[in-house]
Amino acid sequence: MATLVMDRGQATLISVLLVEDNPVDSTMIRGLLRAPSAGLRCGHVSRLAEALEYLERERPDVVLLDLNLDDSCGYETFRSMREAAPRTAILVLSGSDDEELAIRTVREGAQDYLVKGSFDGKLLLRAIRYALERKYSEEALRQSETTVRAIFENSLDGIVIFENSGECIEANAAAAALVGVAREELIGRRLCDFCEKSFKKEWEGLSAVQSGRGQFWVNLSNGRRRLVDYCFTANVLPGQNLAMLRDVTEQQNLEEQLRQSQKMEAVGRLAAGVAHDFNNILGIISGYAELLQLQAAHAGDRARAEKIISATEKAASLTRQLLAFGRKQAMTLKLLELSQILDGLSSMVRCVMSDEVQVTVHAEEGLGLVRADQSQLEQVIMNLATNAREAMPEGGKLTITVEKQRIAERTLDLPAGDYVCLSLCDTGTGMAPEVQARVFEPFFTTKKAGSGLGLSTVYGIVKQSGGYVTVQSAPQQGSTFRVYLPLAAGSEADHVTAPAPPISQLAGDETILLVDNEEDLRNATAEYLEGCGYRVLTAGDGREAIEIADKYAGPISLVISDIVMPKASGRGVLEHMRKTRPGTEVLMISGYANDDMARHGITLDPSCFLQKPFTFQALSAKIKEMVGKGSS
Amino acid sequence: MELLRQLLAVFEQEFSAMLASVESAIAKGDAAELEKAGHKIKGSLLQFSAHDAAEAAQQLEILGRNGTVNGAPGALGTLKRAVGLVLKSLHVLTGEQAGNDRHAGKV
Repeated sequence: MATLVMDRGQATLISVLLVEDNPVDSTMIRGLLRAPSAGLRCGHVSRLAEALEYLERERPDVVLLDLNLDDSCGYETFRSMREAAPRTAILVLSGSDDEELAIRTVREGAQDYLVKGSFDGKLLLRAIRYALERKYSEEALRQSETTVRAIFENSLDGIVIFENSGECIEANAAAAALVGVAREELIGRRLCDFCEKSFKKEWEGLSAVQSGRGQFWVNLSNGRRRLVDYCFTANVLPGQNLAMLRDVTEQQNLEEQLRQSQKMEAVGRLAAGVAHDFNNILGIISGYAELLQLQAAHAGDRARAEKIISATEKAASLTRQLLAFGRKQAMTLKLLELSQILDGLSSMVRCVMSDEVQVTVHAEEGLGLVRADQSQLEQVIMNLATNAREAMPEGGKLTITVEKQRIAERTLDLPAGDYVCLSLCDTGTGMAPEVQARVFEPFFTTKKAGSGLGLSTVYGIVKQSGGYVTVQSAPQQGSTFRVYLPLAAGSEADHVTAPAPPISQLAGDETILLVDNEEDLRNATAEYLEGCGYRVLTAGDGREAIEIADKYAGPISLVISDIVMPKASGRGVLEHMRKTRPGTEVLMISGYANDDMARHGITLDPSCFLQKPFTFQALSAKIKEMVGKGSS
Repeated sequence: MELLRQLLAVFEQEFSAMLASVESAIAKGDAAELEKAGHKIKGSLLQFSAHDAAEAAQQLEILGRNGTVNGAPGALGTLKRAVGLVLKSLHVLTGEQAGNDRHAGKV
């Protein structure tokens, strides 16, 4: 910087203003400055008023100032000049007896003073050059200080300067906000006084190192905590240390949330995969049990077969929960009034509660509709209610509320929007934060006999319905689960609960092509259908199915095909049938949900789908429905 | 030397006006005016390193600063004598120098 100043000074003539009312003095000084080697341009005035005008007009680099003028005297002369030109170097010319006054002017911003009669040309020139250089340096320093101060004050990160004892001597507004106190409260105190105790030792150890980075938790006065990243540098000035602070709480929360949702996603995929394979096996068991039941000669055998069928139904409901968590459960979306669903269910909720639990329901009608699957919503309510009951082993209060909520600003858990919110608030044991973090995880349970699927099913269903579920809890302070379902457009709810139509006549004589790579299931199904009177053609994969269909001369009324198969898939079978036998109906079956069709690029009406495991009765009803439709 | 000649010329030109200011201040009993005039003469004389004469001028300045013109006529007499000597010496200095220069020019 100094070099630059000198370069600038030497490149152009230094402009000097001499303010001197004594003609002898002014002649002398101008004479001394006149030498061409001086590199100066010197103007001269003898009155303060003229000097102020000159400053305004010419903006000289240096002023040589006599303090005693006709129109101004002593310190006042200096003060007026400095106010008018704060960036100009002022050199005071004093008499031998007013040196004290000259020294005062230097203290107040004059660059130097020279006693008249005690300097020659060389000294005067040197004084002028030094004065100018000092002024430039001061200006550069002032600018740098202004910049640093602006950065300090406006930084979004907290900045703290503290002594080796740890006491803060400077802190910006961001730092104070980070620890949740006023700036004045932070000065004179140690940062670690606001942090978790475990950090105290680390903070005290910092003075032994030159620099470092780390994290600490701040305990806020409102009981909340904030995670702070710090970057420490020792001795930025002797005995003064710097710490830069950044609030990373939200980042940490988001990372945690991302990790959690990735884990849930992975577990969901795994659960859905297991459920799919399991459904196929259940299909075989229930299929053969149904055949046994049909063919049993004795009532005892029929009853035993019924037990097997009922056990497979229970197992199937378990796999449905797994699929729900993996968001692969078949859904029948309808416009529903949540309070109506709750109303229909409240007696059952009261049933599952022990007598010591007092249940209160607040559910106004006409809050708005949501698009969801009725039985799934019922499952959500029942699972949450069961969870609440188990949190209140010694009784308590359960308050169930349905209300409309508008979320104006996006929060961590919830995007902005209009929702119908179902909340279940219990007065039970509550949960610690680490339990809360895992509460929706499948197979995570704090109960001895829990499956760990209740709340994870809630999570899966709500997600699948485009909604959000939150939990608020603290140990011994109960829990509140809130399910937010987006408010759906529409004013009239669809009819709830359509009971399955009675199956009166399941028999038929049409030809059916049955395609499934699960041999046992295929054989059991074929046996059943043949028993009903149908002519059944079977194929173990898509390619075989296409060959059989091409060779078969007669009409085929219906193709029942699995979706995922080796060689040619269900989609290939469907496309071939559409080309070669446009009148043939196609029914897709899968261990996944009906969205499996869409995933495999199959464009069929959702009614042409049956999820495994199905009972043969359900299959027969479906066949009747489709073949009947085709022939009408 | 040229600067010295210029200074001498300016001083001689201004000195009578400065003296007039001192005399007017004494006549009016104006101490402030006396201080100012004394200060100005002192500063001018210091430029010639004429310390004795400057001290005489300072006497006037001090009287004025002390709020009085009493004793000023005496001090003024001293000043006039001292300045007379200074001027004489300066003329000799610049005259000899000038003479030497002219002489040198002839060679």
